[in-house]
Amino acid sequence: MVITLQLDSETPLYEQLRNQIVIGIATGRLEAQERLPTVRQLAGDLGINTMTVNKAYALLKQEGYIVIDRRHGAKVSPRTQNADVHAQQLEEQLQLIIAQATIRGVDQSAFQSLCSRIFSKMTYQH
Amino acid sequence: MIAILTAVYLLTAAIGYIVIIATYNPQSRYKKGMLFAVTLPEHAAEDERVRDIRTGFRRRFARYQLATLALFVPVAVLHAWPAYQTIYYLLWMCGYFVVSVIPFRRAFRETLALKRENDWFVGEKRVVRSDLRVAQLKNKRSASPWLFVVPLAISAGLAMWTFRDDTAYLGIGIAGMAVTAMFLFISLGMRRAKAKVYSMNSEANLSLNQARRRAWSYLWVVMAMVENVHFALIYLAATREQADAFGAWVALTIAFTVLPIGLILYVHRKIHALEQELLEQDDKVVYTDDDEYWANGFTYHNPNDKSLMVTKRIGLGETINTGTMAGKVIMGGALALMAAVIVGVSFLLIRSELTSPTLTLSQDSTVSIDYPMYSYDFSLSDIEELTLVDDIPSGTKLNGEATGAHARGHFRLKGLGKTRLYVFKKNPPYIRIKLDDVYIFYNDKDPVLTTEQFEQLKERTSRE
Repeated sequence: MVITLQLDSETPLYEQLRNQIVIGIATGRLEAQERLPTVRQLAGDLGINTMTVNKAYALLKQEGYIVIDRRHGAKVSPRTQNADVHAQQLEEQLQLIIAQATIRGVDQSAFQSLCSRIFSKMTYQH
Repeated sequence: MIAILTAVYLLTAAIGYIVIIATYNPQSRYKKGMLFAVTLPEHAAEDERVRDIRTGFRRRFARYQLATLALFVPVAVLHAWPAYQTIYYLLWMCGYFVVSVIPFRRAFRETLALKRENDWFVGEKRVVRSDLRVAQLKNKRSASPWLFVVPLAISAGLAMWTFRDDTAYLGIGIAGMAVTAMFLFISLGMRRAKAKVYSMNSEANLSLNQARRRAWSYLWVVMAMVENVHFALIYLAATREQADAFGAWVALTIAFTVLPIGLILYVHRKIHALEQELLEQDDKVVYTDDDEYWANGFTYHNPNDKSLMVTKRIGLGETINTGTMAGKVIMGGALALMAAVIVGVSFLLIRSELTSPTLTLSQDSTVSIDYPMYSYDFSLSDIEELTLVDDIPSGTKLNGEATGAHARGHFRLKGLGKTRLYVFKKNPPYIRIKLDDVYIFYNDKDPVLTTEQFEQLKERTSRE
């Protein structure tokens, strides 16, 4: 999977990296248990600071998307099912997104069809 | 000797011309989405104004090449004065590499200005990309750096061999090790360099990056071995004092100039063909617009990029990112070193051209021969034999200066062995002095003075 970071974006580089890996996992471009490059390898290949990659990896690990093994480096987490734990967090995040959508005039049906279109791209299976 | 020097200069200048023409002439054709190292959309390459830049470049490029060629003529004319020939050649070479790219730089600037004016941007600007699988596996199929043990062993063996035979040639073995270390350094630098994202298709990225790294990494190992064999052959040719060595030297020089260049071109072409073949069938090829980091079209300056070495846009191989601290140091150091070498060599050459060795006999019976870097003192009582001769046996230079007009420094002569020469060639007679372990030949430019000095020495030795 190819990571593309926008240097001029307002989103910090570590967050762009984290977001793309999450989307990569959900869309199936990164498979479960697939190995990721080490922090140094990825930082060298992107030409960015190792601390930036380190921060993104730490965040991904904390959120449970990847596991970091001392011997084998970083890996995509095996498939797990903890939807209940996630539900509350999701609701908070969605609230903001839906609020923004409502203000900008997106109605419920439009929002839902947008959601289903995005959902259809996610090939992640439990 | 003179002929060899002129031949070497002619050959290197010819290589310079081939490299410059092969690198810059094709830049006026639209290839790999680029024209004059500026990324352009295809329709822009056919624009009227762009076409004007192209014809202007072709005309100017040809004119500059002819002008520099005309300025090379004095190198051939100066062949009787090797010191001035060398200085002129060095200056010409520097000038050539600066001047011959002026038409290209102009075309690059004009094309870039047109591109900005018309918003002919291709691909995304200011993005960095990395393929996660490639970042992990890019060096998987490359030659291991441990393979450099082989050329290193050859050079160490050569150093030991020269050390046992004759310490004067130890430098050849050390040069072999230095060259091996240089190739190892290049190889390690390439391993660390960024992988290229050709396409959104991971398979294509992985196979192209691995193939590229594999070919180049093995090439560096082979080059290190070839150069060590080259040094071993130089050593063999230098120690076998044969009259017909000239042919061997020319053959050796040509073979070991053509072979490395041939190998580099072969690898470059092979990888290039593979890229074209694979990417032709790929529908997800990626373009990024990083023109802004390529000042002049050929020097890379990108402070946002931490990598030291990047693949060149034009020509082959890698270049240094002067946006990094290490890049600045290397680039500045290389330029300073080159200037120091040229100034230093010119100074030494002019000094040896203007000064001649002098032989003086002091009151306390010490004979001293004064000449920069090769001065030598000995006592009159050390002289075992003193003769006036009309010929100097042939031999090889170990360390010193040998031109058509004079020979000064350490030599190894046929039948005599270790010898110090302080002579004007073709100006007999020569004073031949035999000490315990070394022979010395000395003469003045004026044969009358040489004879006088010889008589003086002879008188003093007989009195001692």
